[in-house]
Amino acid sequence: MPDPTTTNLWHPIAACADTPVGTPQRTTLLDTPITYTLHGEGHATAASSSMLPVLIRYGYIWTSLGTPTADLFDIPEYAEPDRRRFNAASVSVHVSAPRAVENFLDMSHFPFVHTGILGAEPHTEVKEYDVETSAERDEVLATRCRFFQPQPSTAADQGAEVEYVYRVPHPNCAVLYKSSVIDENRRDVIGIFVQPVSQERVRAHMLVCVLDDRSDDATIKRFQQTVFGQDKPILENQFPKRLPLDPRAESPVRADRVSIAYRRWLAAKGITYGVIPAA
Amino acid sequence: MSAHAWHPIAAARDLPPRHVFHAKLLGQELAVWRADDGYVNVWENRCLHRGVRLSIGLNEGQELKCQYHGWRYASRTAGCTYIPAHPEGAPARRIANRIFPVIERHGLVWSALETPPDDLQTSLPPDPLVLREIAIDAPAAIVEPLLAAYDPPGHGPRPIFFIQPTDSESCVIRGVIPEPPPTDTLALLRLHDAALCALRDLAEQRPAA
Repeated sequence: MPDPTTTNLWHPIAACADTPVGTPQRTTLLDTPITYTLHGEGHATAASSSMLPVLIRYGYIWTSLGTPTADLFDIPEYAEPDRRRFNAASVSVHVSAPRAVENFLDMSHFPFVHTGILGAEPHTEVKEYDVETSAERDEVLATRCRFFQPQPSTAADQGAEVEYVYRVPHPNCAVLYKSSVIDENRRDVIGIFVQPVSQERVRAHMLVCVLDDRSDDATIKRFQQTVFGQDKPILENQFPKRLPLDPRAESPVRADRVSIAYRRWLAAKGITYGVIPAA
Repeated sequence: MSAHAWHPIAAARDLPPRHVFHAKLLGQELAVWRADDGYVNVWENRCLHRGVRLSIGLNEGQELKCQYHGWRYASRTAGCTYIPAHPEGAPARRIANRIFPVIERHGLVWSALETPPDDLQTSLPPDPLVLREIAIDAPAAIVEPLLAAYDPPGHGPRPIFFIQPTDSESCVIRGVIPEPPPTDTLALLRLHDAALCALRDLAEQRPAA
């Protein structure tokens, strides 16, 4: 049985755009088989042994096996009409949900895993950044994250030092805001919404919500799929697959401050699903 | 199958230059690699930082580089020498990977999970003919009696067999022929390969439930 916090969360189960209308579909959430149907007019239903609550938000169908205690986190930029916004991919990965989220929050792998795109040697240093865990908003926030990127996005012609903000507003979902090459006052928004299929298997749904007036949807999707395709074999070679919450279980360095805060936040929430709780 | 005993974990030829070999002994995954000076390293197959298998890392000659964040570990000591996210600072001295004892002898690489009390004792010559390893989806205890009765027709000099217990459910047969004939070794290798594959099929037969 998943812990109560996990049971009562909203979880993403599919992108609306990838779901045929009116035909029941199957998926698995928290080891539980689920049937769901997308009806017309932005309405969906879902059931396991009984009917489940359903929400459609950010182009995805969300459900819960318990009673969601809070509304889903807000992404105000999603409402901005000039953004390109869609599901870039839903990818199965043999890893726990928190390992997938932690990878999304990590800058120091860019030069080694996303070589020539999001990073390149010798630009490997992770400069000091700020991390806070907001009790009021119940989220982990990393700001002033800066990294040199050879190809920051599909809208970029050249490399640039890019500034990131990372937000973790949900134990299995994270959102990043990175400098836009189109408008210096705005940021591209990319979200990873992880569906825990089991404690060690996920479907990772990737939302793009970006400023790009020159690339077609396929190009933007291909860029994200390339990047995530580079992460997948790394994630699937991580052991243990569940995220260890004991701070001594692995060897964090200063660059990992956001991961340390994330692990602490999960522990404080009493999450045991997909993690190895500290003794 | 003692953690304190020497077991073969690879053939010497599995470790060509700049390669990292993925091995397993008694349930423990190992990253095995030969440094440019010839030294063979047998390490726990996990980067200390974020748990990524080092067997998917890069053998850079004197150091192994993790694929995830480029952390480097020195040959012999397995101490972390460089953390690219913080190029200015030297890594903390305590960051060293777990290493296992190693002997390269008789065309095989030998290791143990705990330090064995004695040196490896065999009566083998330095360069026997090493058969292709046969991975078997059955425990060593099932394979042992089958190997004791191994006697394919017309095989000439009898191989010496060692069983590498990969975990409680599987093993690898590693055979060597101490004094191979000077000619026609290919036919000899093929003969044993076919006979050992037949033995594997027998070992993997499970009684119907």
